[in-house]
Amino acid sequence: MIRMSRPFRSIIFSAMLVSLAACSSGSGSGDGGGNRNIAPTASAGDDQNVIENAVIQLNGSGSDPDAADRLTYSWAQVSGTAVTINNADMAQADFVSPNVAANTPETLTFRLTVTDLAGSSGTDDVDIVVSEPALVVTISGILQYEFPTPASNCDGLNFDATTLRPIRGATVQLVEENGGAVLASIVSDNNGAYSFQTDGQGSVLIRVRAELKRTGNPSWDVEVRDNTSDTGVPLAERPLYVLDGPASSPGGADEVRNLLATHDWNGNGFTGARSAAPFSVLDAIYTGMQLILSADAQAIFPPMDAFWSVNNTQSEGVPRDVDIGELSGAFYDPNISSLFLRGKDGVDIDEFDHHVIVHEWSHYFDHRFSRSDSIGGTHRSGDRLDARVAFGEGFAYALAGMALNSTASCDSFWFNNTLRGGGFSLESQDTSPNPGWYNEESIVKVVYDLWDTNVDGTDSSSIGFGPIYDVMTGAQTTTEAFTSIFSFAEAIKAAGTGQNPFIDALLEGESITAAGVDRWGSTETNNAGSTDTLPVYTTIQTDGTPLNVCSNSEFDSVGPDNEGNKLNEHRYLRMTINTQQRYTFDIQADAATLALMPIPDDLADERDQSDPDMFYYRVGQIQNLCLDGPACNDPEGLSGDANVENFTSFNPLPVGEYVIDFNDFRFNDTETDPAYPTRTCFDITVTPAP
Amino acid sequence: MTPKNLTRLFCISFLLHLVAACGGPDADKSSADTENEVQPATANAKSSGNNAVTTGRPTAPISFRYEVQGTPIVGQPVSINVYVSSSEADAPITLYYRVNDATSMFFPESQALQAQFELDPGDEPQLQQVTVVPQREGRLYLNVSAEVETDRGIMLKTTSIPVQVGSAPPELETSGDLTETAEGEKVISMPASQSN
Repeated sequence: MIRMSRPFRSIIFSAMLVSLAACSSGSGSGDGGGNRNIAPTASAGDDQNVIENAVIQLNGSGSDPDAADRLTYSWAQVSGTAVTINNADMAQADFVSPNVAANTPETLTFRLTVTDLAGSSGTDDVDIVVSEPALVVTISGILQYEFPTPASNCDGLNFDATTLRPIRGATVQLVEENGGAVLASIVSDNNGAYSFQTDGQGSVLIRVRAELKRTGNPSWDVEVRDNTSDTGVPLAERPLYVLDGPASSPGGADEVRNLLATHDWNGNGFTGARSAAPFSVLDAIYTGMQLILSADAQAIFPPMDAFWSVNNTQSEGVPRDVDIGELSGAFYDPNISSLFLRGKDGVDIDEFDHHVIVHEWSHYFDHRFSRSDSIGGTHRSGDRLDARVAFGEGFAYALAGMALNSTASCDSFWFNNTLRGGGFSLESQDTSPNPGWYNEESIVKVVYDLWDTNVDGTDSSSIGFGPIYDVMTGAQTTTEAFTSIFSFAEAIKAAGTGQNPFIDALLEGESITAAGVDRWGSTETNNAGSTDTLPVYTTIQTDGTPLNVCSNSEFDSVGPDNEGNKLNEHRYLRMTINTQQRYTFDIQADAATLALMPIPDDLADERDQSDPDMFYYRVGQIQNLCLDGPACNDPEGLSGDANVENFTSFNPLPVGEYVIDFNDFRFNDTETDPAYPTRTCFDITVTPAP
Repeated sequence: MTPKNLTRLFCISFLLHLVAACGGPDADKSSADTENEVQPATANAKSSGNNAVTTGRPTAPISFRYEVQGTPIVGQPVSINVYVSSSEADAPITLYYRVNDATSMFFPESQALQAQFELDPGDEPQLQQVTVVPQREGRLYLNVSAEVETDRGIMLKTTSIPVQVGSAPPELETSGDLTETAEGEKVISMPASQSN
């Protein structure tokens, strides 16, 4: 036995393995013997798009079923500008991409050959497309709109003192000129700044949409649209205003594009598109939202629209048609969560009257965040109003002042041939006409002075907006009483501000009784000079005990047409239900009132007799409705029967506190007989229904 | 069913749907006479307090209603009775009349463009008759401005009285260009002034 040394044994063993392996396979371009070699497979890697003057990796690989084969690699260039391939004999090679002409990419093709020990080989090609590096340019700028400041004493607008204000929170788009594709979209910041990065290719424009959009917490969705354009579609789909900058190609350099929306005032009227208008409207709403966010950083603002048009005019025409711009004034319609604002040159414009816009937006706040029981309607300076209207309107003025941090509530409009205006001060140092709980200007001053830090008149301190917001979104939404200064005052005094003497002073300063103030106005002594005014709420028993209640139109004194929203035209009753059951309500004109009516009733005259009506509510929700079936589709309590109203509640009334709005419809009726008395009284009973 | 009950049903449906126009400033008013368009000032419908439409500022203590006399015809003078009421005692009132576009409607030379008078709250409305001459069909507007002296100073109010001439639709103005985005959304494109 020959004993071999260890190195020698290893060499022999390896040779045997190679021999065995070679014999086990017979394919390929091998030795032509019984054992065929299999050619290796080459992979040159994926095609690549690269930039010029860069080191480019060629990611090759090879494989061979003959596991023992040793593979060699070879890279070669097949086409394109010649380059030097580094490590061309390795699977991983590289080269430096050549310079190419602008906008002329060049394809270089490389071939990888993989060869085994038997000389069999496989090949694969890869295309490398070389281009100039993509251009990145920045287009940025500031978005602004022209804002003429209110003139002295709110007497119009001072266009000579036009300021530039940022377009904040608006959607900004980078738009291709050709085709109009939106390449990118962002939101402008609080300075109106925006910035896009682009490849600088093609002509683009900056578009600013008159909208505020945000998702998450907080969130909002506000759009400014034209109600008089494309009127064949629903209001919510009418065209949105957008501000478009001129289109151009940025080329190869960063570019600043500042956009300005102009008011287009020429000294006597407007010329041009008045592009500042929708963005001024948008900014006023943005300002209102900021006030709410100061108290509730997570506020969710339900979607709303603002409609503005150059056709929107103050019109006496009826029926008014918003499709042609006929408005009764600036207003908020809660049924579609929309503001309507005027823009008619020569009549009335609202776009720069931020107090007017935020006032109307405050009604959106009432609707969506708080609660308002206001019955709406016309209100003039000095009016003694239904307490619900007074609070709703007064709070709206105050909220506008708080949001805008501005004490002068101005409204501009044309007077004859000149842009003039009017307004009033929100400060308590300026006397309200006919002050009291029924006067919107008194409400303004109480609420605004609670917030502001100026010291004037009875205003010696401030509670800030937080407690006001908490009351409006809390107690004011759940009060059993109607929403009024009384419900507000009770809640704000219970809010723990530590400033009740200050609150009392503000109330007393507006002739509102502060001591013991509660939601019912139980301690109120200011009767506005009318014996029918107090108590604010009269309690009615539910056991059939009759109650005599009088209403009057003595404060509805503008012209012969009753407006129906003045003090004492609606009287408030309280009712406590202790047993859940149905109740019968009976209202009869009393003998003295009947004596004032024409006798006999002229059946041809619909308006010569009284028409008592009754709405009853539970925590702000009207209860006259029955939705259980066709038998009770009509609200109860609103019949047109002369001098009487009698009905039984549709449903058993749950135990709790109720309030009743009682009124003689003749005081709401535009066509009431001129001879109709200005005061009518009624006997009312509430009894359990059998 | 009486007209009164018709009115009630109309309003009841408003109430069921909590439609704000019932009782709001833009509410349904009395029907207009085709010969004499009478436009009273306030709601003629029953409403709940919920979802009421409210207007903006407290306006001057004055109100208007009007009647267009007869059927306005192009080229023919048409009289408009303007009734003015005030809640301000002994308030001197000055009215001014104006049209925005004299090529559409103008005042005859005999028509005074200004009127002065005093009113008390209890007075019957002051009747002022204004004559205009329409120059085209469509919905034209007489602008009426009022100046009222009050204890709180002079207060102003302006409103428009529509005069429908023939059946032509109103000529609406445009601002910006109505266009459609690549996504098919209609927008009004307003030009920006751009600087660097």
